[in-house]
Amino acid sequence: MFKIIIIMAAGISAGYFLRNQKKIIRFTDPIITISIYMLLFFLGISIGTNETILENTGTIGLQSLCLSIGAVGGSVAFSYLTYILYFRNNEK
Amino acid sequence: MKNSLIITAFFVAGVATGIFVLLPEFIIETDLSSYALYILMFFVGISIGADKGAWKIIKRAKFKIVLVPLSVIAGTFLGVGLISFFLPGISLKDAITVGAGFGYYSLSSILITQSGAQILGVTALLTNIIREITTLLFAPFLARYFGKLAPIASGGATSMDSTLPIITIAVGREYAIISVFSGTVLTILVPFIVTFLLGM
Repeated sequence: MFKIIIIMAAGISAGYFLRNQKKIIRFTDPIITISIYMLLFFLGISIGTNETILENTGTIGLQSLCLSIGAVGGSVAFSYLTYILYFRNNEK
Repeated sequence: MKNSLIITAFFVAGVATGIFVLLPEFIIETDLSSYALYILMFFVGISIGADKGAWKIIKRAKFKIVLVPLSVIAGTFLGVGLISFFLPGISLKDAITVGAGFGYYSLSSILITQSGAQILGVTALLTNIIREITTLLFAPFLARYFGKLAPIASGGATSMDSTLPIITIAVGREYAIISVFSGTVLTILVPFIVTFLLGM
């Protein structure tokens, strides 16, 4: 998986040097969008052919709901603390 | 939101294809999606490197503003970590890896699936989509009862684009800048943190 980080780091440096080449940079967003669509289509296929996942959609859905409640709850709690300690008093 | 609908449509079309169409073995076995992923990550890199706005925002950031994405990271990990103790089948590391999507469901689920953890990839997709939807629905409520950083925290990586409009309405333009900052930092960090956790 670290291959991916290296590829992305190469992309970041390429992007930084090409940042004024608007003609080239213009193409990045559509390429990203299309490859995300393709990858999610592939992801869908691998799920559609995976019996274990198909038989457990209910469990996976419930686990996901619980995890997102944890993610939102935890980050809201921490940000509330940060807000009270560092931000609230500076508001006009 | 329009984008999430298209993305979901592609995903659903893929599932339907997988279930109903008898695909030739070689399509399933050749690793087309790895190459698509490499292309995707290279161009995600280019878009980050070439984004002058992102560099400017990060350079101008004062210490205090950095606390916002840090709170989101710490809070998310603690929250999903606690939840994982009540979910059989989800280990602490699984939960943190899913949480590290911070709402960026397309990229995090793709990375997790590619690492071989297919079921966890689906969990990441759903968890992070639910996180985005929750933010879209509850941003004003969160801002009212848990301070102006709350909807930004809830949005995670999406607070720079898909949930930014509703967050701006809920917290005002001054905090919208913080929202863009936090979302940008998290969006950049998602692939690094997720890949790091998968490699552990």
